[in-house]
Amino acid sequence: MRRLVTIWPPAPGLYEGQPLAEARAIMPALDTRSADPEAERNALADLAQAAMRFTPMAAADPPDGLWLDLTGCAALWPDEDAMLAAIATWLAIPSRLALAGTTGAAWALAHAPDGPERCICPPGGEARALARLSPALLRLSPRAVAGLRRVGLREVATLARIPRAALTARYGKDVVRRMGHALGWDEEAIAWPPPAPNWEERLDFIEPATTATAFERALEILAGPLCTRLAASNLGGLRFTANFQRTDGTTAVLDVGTARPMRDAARLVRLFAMQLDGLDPGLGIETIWLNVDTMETLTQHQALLGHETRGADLAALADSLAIRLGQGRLWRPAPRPSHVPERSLRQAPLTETPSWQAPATPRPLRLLARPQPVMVMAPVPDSPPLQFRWRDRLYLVRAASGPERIAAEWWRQSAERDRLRDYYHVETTSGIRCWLFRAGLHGADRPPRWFLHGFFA
Amino acid sequence: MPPPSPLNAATLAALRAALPPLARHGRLPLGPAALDVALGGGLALGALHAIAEAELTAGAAGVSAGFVASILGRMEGPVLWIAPRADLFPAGLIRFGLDPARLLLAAPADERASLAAMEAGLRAGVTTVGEIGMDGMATRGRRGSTGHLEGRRLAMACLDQGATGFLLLRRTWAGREGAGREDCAAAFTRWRIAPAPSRGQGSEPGKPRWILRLLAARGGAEGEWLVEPGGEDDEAPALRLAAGLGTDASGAGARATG
Repeated sequence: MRRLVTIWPPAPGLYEGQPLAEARAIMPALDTRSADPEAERNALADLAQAAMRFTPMAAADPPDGLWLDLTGCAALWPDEDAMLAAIATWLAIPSRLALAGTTGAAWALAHAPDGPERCICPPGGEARALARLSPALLRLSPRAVAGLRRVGLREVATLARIPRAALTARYGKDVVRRMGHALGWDEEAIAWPPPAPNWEERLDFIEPATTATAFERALEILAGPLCTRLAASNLGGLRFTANFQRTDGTTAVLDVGTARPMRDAARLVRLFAMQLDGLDPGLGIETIWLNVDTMETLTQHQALLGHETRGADLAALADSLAIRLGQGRLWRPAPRPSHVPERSLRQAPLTETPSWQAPATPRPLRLLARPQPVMVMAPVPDSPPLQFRWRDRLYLVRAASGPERIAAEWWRQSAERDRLRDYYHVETTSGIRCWLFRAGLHGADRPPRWFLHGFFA
Repeated sequence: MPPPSPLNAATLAALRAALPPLARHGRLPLGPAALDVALGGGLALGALHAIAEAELTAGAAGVSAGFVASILGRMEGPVLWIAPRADLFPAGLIRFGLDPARLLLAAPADERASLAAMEAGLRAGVTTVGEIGMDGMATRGRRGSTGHLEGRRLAMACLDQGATGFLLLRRTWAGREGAGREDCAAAFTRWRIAPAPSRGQGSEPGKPRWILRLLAARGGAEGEWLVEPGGEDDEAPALRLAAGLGTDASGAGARATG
C-alpha cells in the first residue's frame, strides 16, 4: 500500500502515514510524487556541503535536518538573529532554525511542536528552555519514551531532577547520554563531512553585462582554467553548471550534462552558448561562476582517442540532444534481471555499453506502458483465447502459443492473483500478432482478468 | 507555349551522365530480386525513407518496427531511435538482427522536438529512426506546409551527411484515421506496411509475414509484396519473399512497372 510520507503545505485531514487512497478521497486534486529516500539523502548531503558557506562545519542530519556548528561565526553578522535570518533566506524553503549551546538543545528546540520559526537559546539557558518539553525531543528511543511516560515523566524538567544513576539503572545509558547532549555535561560527536574540493571558477564584471556575446566570452575565460585544472587531476566533468548572478541578487543557472567525461573548453562553451538565448539577464549580470558538479577519471589517452574516432561524433550528438530534449529523455536501453516485462528494461546512461542476450521465447517489439484490459473468450483452465475484444473491436484468434508463466518476484508486495501471469503469443485472423496475458488462475476466489501487453512484428 | 526544345538523344544522355547518381551513398540490397529491381538496385543509403503503418487498428506498430529493425540489422554503427511514445521493447528487436546495444533511445516531449532531434541525428551522420504520429506529420496542403518543409529538411540532412533516415509514420492505437496524412513526399522511398497471417498451418503463430507496399521510389517503380523478415543472422538478406502463398500479393512483383 502506498502511504503519505510528507505533506506540504499541511492540509486538514491529511497526515503522514495515511494510505494514499484515503488521502485522494479527501483531496482528489492531491499532487503526489513517489518518495525516493536515497535521492533525498543525497540532496541533504549536498545541502550540507552548500551550507559550508556559513561555517566550515556543516553536516546532514537525516531525514530532514542540518547541523551547523556556528561557534565564532556570529562575529561576521551584526547579531545572532541576523545570522539566522540570513540562513533562512539562503535556504529559501520552509525551515525551523534553533541556535543553542548544545546539540541536543538545538535539536529539541528546532523540532518542538508549535515552536517559533527561529529560536535562540541564551548561553547557559538550555535547562530552562527545555524544561517544559517532552523527553521525546531528547532523541530517545521510542521504547525509552514510552517507559518514561508510563511513570508520568512527561517533561525534561522532572527527568532532570532524578539522579542519573537511577535513570541509568532503570532505562539504560542512552537516556542519560542524550540528556547530557542537551544539558551540556556530555558532548555529542557529530561526523562533520570534509568539504568537497572546489571545482569552481568565478568572474566578476566591473560593469553589469547584458549581452550573450559578453557571457560567451566570460565563459571562455572561465572554462579555460577550469579544464586545465581538470586535466591536471586526470579528471573530466560529466555535469557543469554556470551561475549568473544578477544585480538584484537573484541567480540564473544553466547546466550542461555530457555523455562522457570531458574537459574540452571550446566544446563546453559551445554547449553553454546553445542555451544563452533563454537566459534572462534582468538589469545586468555582475558575477558568473562556472562549476563542475560531477566528474569522472579521464586520462589523456582517452581524451585523444575521443577526438579521432567516430565515437566522438556520437558523444557530441548525445550531449547536444540531452540539452535540447531535457533531463531523462535520452538513454541507452539496458536489460535488467527481472522476468516481469515492464521491469526487465532499464534506462542506462549513455556511457554504458549494455550487453543483450537473445530471449528464450519471442518477445514483442512494442510493449504497452500499461497493460490494457481486454474481454476474452477462452476455454478453462489453460487454453489460449479463442477471441478477444479490445477497444470495441472483436479479434478472432487464428493461432496461439503459450502459456509462458511469469511470476512477479516473491518479495514484492502484491495480491497473489496479480503475481501470476500466463502470457500467450496470439495471432488473429487478420495477421495481428500480440501478447496477451491472464492475471490469476481459474478456480481462485476471483475470476482471472485478461490484458493486452504488446505487439509482435 | 515554349517552342519544342532542340535536344537530341545524345545531348540528353550527356546531360543525364552529368547529373550526380540518385543514390550518392550506395545501396543496400534488401534481398528479394523483384523488390531490389523496383528500388533501382536496393535501398538507397544516405537517404530518407518513410514507412507508414497501414490502416489496421493495432498490430502495425510492431510490424513497422520489425521492418526497420530488419534493415538496420544489416547496417553498421549506432542507431538513434526517436520514440516519443516510449513503447519500443528492445528485447524483441534481437530476432530481427538488431542488437539493442547499438540503440540510443530518445523520447522528446512533442513532435517539433522529435523532428529537430531527428535532424540533429542525421546531421551528425548517425543512422536515425524517427517516429511521428500520423495525425502530426500533417500535409496541410501539399506544398509550403509544415509537413512538407520538415520532410525536405530531413531529406537534405540525409543527403548532406550520408546518413540514412527512417521516418515511421505511426497510427494512434485508438485506430482513428489520419486521412491523407500517411505520407512524406520528400522521402526517397515511401512504404506502407501491414501484418499478414503467418504461414504456420498448425496452432502456433509462425514466422511473421508482412504485406509490404512500395508507394514510390526515386528512379524506381512501385509494387506490392508478401515478405518475411530475414531473421537474426546478419549474413542473411533483410527480407525474403514469402513463397507459395496466395496469388495476388506474392505475384504482385509483376505489377512493378519499370
